[in-house]
Amino acid sequence: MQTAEIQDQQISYYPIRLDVFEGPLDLLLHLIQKDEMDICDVSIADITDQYINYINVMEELDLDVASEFLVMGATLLQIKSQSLLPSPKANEKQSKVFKDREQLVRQLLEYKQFKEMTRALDQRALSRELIHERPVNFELADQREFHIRATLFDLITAFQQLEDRHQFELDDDYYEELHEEPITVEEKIDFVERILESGEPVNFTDLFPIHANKAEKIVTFLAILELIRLKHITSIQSGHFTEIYLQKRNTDTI
Amino acid sequence: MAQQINTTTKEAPPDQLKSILEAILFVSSETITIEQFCQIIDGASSKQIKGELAKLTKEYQESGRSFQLTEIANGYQITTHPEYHDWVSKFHTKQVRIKLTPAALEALAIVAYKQPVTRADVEAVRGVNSDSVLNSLLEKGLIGISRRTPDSGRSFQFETTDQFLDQFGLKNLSDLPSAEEIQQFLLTN
Repeated sequence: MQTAEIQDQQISYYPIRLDVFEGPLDLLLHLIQKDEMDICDVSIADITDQYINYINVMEELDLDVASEFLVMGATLLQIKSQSLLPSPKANEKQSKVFKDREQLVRQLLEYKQFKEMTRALDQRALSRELIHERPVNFELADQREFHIRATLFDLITAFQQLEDRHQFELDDDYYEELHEEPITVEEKIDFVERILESGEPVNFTDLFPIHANKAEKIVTFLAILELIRLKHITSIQSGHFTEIYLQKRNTDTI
Repeated sequence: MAQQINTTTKEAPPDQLKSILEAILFVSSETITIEQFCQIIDGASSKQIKGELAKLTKEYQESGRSFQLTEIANGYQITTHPEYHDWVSKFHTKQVRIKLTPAALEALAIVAYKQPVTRADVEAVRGVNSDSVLNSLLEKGLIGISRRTPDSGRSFQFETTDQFLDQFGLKNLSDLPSAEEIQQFLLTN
């Protein structure tokens, strides 16, 4: 077949048809319905020519033609040629053609049925959009997962345990240092906020560097308390006396 | 809802059952199943609960309320009446509904009507490779791996989820559009 000829023919034949078909069955169904043919009485010869022409146009236009389209084209050509070629065993040939055709028709009918179901289902989704439910409260959803919000008492307990863990000793020197400590609460607030930026819960103790001195730990703790007070973060626990996690509050929820 | 269910309380006075159900529905942002109601309300049978819910539905309808009791995704939920959609949607920027491509919708319909199905079953109907659409449906939570164990040697099977029922406004799987409904729809369109 000469490409140029087909292209000319196509341009007049399918002037604006450039829909992307979901698959070879979708294309076949379209061709059949366009000609108002009954699927069961479809003329394979007719439809094969149209189908092959369409594939050629798609290729001419550099559209990506999925391999399934080509397989279907081959199947159609086979059924068409089998029905045209003379065969020494006429009966055998007839039954083979009949069977292939029958299978294709069955596949088309089933596909058409699902296309219709898809449209009806889509209609249900449109009706569904007209009714509104109470919006999900994200903060509540978080609490449900973690059960309870850690109280100030829980936080202080966790802070004390942190000190035990790091075997910290209180003495006057450290109080001195607090005044000279270059890290400010503001800086720590920024640090904690950046760590919690992703929205993932972070373990309370992970916010305290192991080698941090007393002053830095206190500043970190004050920063956490301030962020909770400002409602920028929330402290959550799966139960009393369990690990405390800190999480950025969803800004969308008030 | 899990927490509320665990906190069992005193037995519900039968004459208050309808109001109790209404109060629970009023505060919930999720659908509530009959089983959940049974767990919350001691001594009420699922039959009684269904009866009271039917009364509520009727009451709302007859008094022309702007809200309704909707049966959806194997449960119940108070929603607005469709008539007020335009106004409500101006106020309430709704959680974005999952948008589906025609291919995904087609694959979803096949799973919905034929479930449980394998990848190969879906491909056989569509006549085209459906891996990526099925994966995206899985990701969106509209389909899941079937809990029914496949016959030995068979691959995983897919089935639709409650989220699918919710998104398409279906009470349960038997609420899928019937052949008659589909015919009716095609005639009117």
